[in-house]
Amino acid sequence: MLEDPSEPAFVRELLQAGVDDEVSDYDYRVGLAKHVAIIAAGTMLPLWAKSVISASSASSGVSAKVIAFVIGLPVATAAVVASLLISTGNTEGPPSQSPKAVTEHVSKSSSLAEPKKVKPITIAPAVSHAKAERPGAVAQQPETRALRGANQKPREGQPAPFSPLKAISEAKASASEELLSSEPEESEFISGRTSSRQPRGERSTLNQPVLSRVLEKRDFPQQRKTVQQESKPVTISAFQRETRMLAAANRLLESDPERALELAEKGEREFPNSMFTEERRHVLILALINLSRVDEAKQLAGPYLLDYPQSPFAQRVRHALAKAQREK
Amino acid sequence: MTDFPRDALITAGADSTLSEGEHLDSAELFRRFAPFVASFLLRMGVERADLEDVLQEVFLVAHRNGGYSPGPAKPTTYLANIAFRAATTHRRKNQTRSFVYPNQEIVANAPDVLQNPENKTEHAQRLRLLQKALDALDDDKRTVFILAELYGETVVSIAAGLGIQVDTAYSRLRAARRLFRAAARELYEEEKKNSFLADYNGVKRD
Repeated sequence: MLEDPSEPAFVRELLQAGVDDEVSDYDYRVGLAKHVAIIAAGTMLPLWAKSVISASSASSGVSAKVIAFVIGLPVATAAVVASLLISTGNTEGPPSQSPKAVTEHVSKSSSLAEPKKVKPITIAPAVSHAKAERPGAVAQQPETRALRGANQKPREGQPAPFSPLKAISEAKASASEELLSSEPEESEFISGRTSSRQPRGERSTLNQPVLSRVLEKRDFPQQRKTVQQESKPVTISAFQRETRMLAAANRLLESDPERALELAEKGEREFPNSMFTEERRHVLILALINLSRVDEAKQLAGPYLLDYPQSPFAQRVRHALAKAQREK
Repeated sequence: MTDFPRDALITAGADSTLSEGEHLDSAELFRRFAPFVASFLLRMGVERADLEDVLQEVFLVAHRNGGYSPGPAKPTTYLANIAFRAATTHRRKNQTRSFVYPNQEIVANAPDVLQNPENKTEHAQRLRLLQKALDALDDDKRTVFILAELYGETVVSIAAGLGIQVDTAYSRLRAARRLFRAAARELYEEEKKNSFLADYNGVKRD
């Protein structure tokens, strides 16, 4: 419009005034310093901005989910098929079966397979290590090796035909690699054990805290230690482990304060003076209060409230202590 | 008057020094585009007295958004999207609260040794009319119009920055031009009448 001679002169004049205008009475250097200070102070976002941030993060989250679904679906399907084949024990099929024959075979075997045999797909990485130690659990592995060996050696003198079993075993291998890089659930911290012993459906019907205590009396603490030692370098970073432990402890405060206390103490030992210390110590104090060990809680709360007087957790600790003392 | 190094500032439409694929954090965005955002906020109707607060909000949000990442939107249109929301929210808030603002006209016409007073008055007068004409547009059209007509942004970049379809941006721009032209004509007629009356009254007094 500005450079269009057909536009009226007054329109172009107004636009030209807008183009020429500068905010010259603002000190941008001071503004920049203020901006840096605002960021350093961790100033909260204005309310209107939350929609901007959440919209952008939601859209990226959705796209990430779509990508994960698109990539994960074929891998997961291949892994399901492979595990079904293995679980039915029919692993000696010819390596050069046609895709159609394999499909028929899979559909036939899937109808015969028990539902719980599909479980290996959902096994956490640490569990797979644990299972390998148990004699019953490794029974499938030689079969898998035999399957791979058969697929890796095509008949001599012939071009390597399409080998669906090989493709499946490769997919399974990549799927298990993916699982190895995944993280254990918080429920492992909550129950204090891995999820390999019982199927998920069965576990959900039981009283979780009681179960965890019963299981701990058996050989589970030792096994848990082994699993954690093995899985630590492979699976999760210390940061993730710490946050998960803390989240589990926080969640167990009401239902199983004993376990929450144990997790908080363990966190204090493993991650002293980390960025979650403030939150973890408050969980520890609350757990003590919930266990009616109010005197101990008061002893710890004193220095805690001095260290973090303005913390939102401090407020929670004060309330809990006051309530406990009233009840006492 | 600021002593900020003007050479370091890139005004809208002149970001050719931005190397391809360059990620800009919020401090860098501020360094380069704060004048653009400040000017854009004023054109969007933010009061001069509130400019600093709204400007800081815009760059705070840009910081939380992770700064500018290269894409179809240019840094200017990326910031304009945030500034647009900041300005509309700010204006809406001001509709429900009453603040005492300085008379912008008096402030703008205050003596300034650096500028010719006559030119400055004329410029301030045109800016006032421009602001009035822009007030005739709704926020969506106003944003597209300001970016396209005052800062020379391409419609594709505007659409990418605001997260709207290119066709929608074109449609808004067309409608905004029509409305702006009509509003400007009306204001011009009114001003002409007022100045005639002023002259006439002056002549009568003489």
